[in-house]
Amino acid sequence: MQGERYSPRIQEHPILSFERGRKIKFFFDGREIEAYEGETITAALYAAGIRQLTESLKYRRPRGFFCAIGKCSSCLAQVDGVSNVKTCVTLVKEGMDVRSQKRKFSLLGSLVSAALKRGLFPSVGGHYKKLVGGPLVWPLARRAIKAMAGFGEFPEPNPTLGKFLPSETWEGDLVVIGGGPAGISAALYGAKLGLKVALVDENSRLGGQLVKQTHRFFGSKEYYAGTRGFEIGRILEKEAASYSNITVLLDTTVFGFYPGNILGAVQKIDFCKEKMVKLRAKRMVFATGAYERTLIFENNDLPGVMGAGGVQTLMNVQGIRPGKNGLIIGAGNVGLILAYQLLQAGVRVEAVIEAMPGVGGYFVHAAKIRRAGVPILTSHTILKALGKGSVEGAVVAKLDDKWNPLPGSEKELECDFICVAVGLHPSFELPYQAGCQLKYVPELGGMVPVHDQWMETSVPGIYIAGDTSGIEEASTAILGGRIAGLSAGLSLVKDREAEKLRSEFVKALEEFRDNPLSAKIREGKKKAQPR
Amino acid sequence: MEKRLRQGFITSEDLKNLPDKERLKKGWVAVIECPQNIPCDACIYACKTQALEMKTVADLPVINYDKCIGCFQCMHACPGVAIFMVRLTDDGKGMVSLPYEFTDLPKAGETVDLLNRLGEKLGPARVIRTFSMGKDAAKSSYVTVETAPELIWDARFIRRR
Repeated sequence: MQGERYSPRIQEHPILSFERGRKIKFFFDGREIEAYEGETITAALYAAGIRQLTESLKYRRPRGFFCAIGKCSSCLAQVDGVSNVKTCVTLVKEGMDVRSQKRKFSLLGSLVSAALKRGLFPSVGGHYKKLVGGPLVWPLARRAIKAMAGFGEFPEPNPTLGKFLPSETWEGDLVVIGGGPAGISAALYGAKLGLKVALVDENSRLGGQLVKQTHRFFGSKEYYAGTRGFEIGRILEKEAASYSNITVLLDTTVFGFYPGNILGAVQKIDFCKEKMVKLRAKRMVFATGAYERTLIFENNDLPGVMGAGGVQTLMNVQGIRPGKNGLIIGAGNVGLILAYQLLQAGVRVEAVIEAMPGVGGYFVHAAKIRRAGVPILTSHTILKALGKGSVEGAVVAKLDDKWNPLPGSEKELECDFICVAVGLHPSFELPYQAGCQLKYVPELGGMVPVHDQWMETSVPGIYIAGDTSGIEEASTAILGGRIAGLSAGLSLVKDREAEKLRSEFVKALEEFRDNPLSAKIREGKKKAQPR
Repeated sequence: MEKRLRQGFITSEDLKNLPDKERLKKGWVAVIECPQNIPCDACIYACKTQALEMKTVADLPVINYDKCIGCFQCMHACPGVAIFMVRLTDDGKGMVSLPYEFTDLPKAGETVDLLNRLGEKLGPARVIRTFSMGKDAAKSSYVTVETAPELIWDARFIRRR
């Protein structure tokens, strides 16, 4: 941590070891870049000091990656002639030709950009405001839009595209979407009841976001307390592999729900070869997780402003330091844990800033970084990121009790990257498309599908688990997943023992939340109950 | 204390029911700095002498210093990195063992700076040894330092010079 000479690739780490593959070369906009097999394109570019991957369409602002898990689309590039490849989840290969999708200069384009900046066309975000007015218009408009978009029937891939291999069909009892702690647990407990299960995840390995967690987890002995996050991921992954009635489909993104309990998915064989998979199951568990929220401040799109989870992926999965000196926005558990992980990777942390008057995360997580000398500036906010093309600093300010920046309190902090750790939002899209009733529950992170204590949504036969059912943590995700898996199974087969087990898990969940720190979650869970 | 908790630190005054000098001279004891009701009972299962007790998973652990044999197991098990080991030597020096999950482990005999819970320098200390517990993913590193006896309640981190 102290005194190590800076190099982007982490060689020594107190917890993790990074096994890098063969040294290879690839090209970015014609420039030769060195990389190691097993690294993603984004990570290899970042290690080479290239942070800008693309630019915004309208105003041509430089853009770097934000999420690093294939959700935010800030890292799209052309790879070997294929456009819009998510470079943060695509592995680099020898001789690969990566090109940034910058707009070519044209006089007309520049004129349009200038006109847009002057507000001669509808304002930014104007398209969000169309057709949503009123409870009468929106349902009709939605139906019309869905019809126009061609939903409603399972599509057959166009063979002339050459990109698609012949499609496949999987039929069974239970399909679980999302291979994090909740999803794996749901699959396991469905399988224990003898169901034929498919476990689907868009990543190339199971474990969800556990793969980047180096800290030991809290909880009870029965639920992996004291075990490091990535190790819990491995244990669950192994257990899933030991069941012959669980089919694991990796690199597979579910893109839509179709009538007749059908899910459409695309399995990535290579970045230019894909296979359509039709999943038909009697029961479904959606454990699709969450995505990172962002924060509004000046230059928040500057390359080097990244999501906290994105930084964890870059650092703890790819083994690449995000920079030399970081600023973290948000002192919830994610921000505090990230600060400690940065120190472990040999990266300085300038400060953690938090808008609330106190830290939002656990005291012990805050204590770990405070004794290492990291300041936590409470009642502070970020006003803007500084830098040309990449982060070179930040301006922060103190907040008054009405959340307004106090004039004169602005100060400049040094940093070469900024981590946004301001919370997560449940990924509700799939349950929403399947017709599950949603509710806005701020205590659970935003829009969540309404669900009962058995984790069933308003659509019979569709269950949810993990962060999809409200932002919480891994132990409760595991318990929620087990309950969802058992509920799905129990609606198909009778099993007294399993019923008893499920009640025990429900009780264990209640016990977990029976403490002052979980008051918000308890409140949120009450609100998310069906009436 | 509630206010300090929200700023991410406590002080030695917040520590309750500390062991007396006599007990400290007998050998290592655990100091548990776990003031919030986190649902976690990892330390209870790590303790082989039932020196730690907890009614429900979200209760605070309570330690019985007569039963604590100073085995370091709870320090190693604590996911919050919130347990430290302290003792006094026969010649009146203080000793602290603390978790140090970083790559730049100091060497025995080295002089390091002791830091308090706010990362402020307290004074120098001599490293007695560094050691690790657990294997593979469960492995963690620890540092034992010798220092002035009054610093054992405040020294919670080290920095190499």
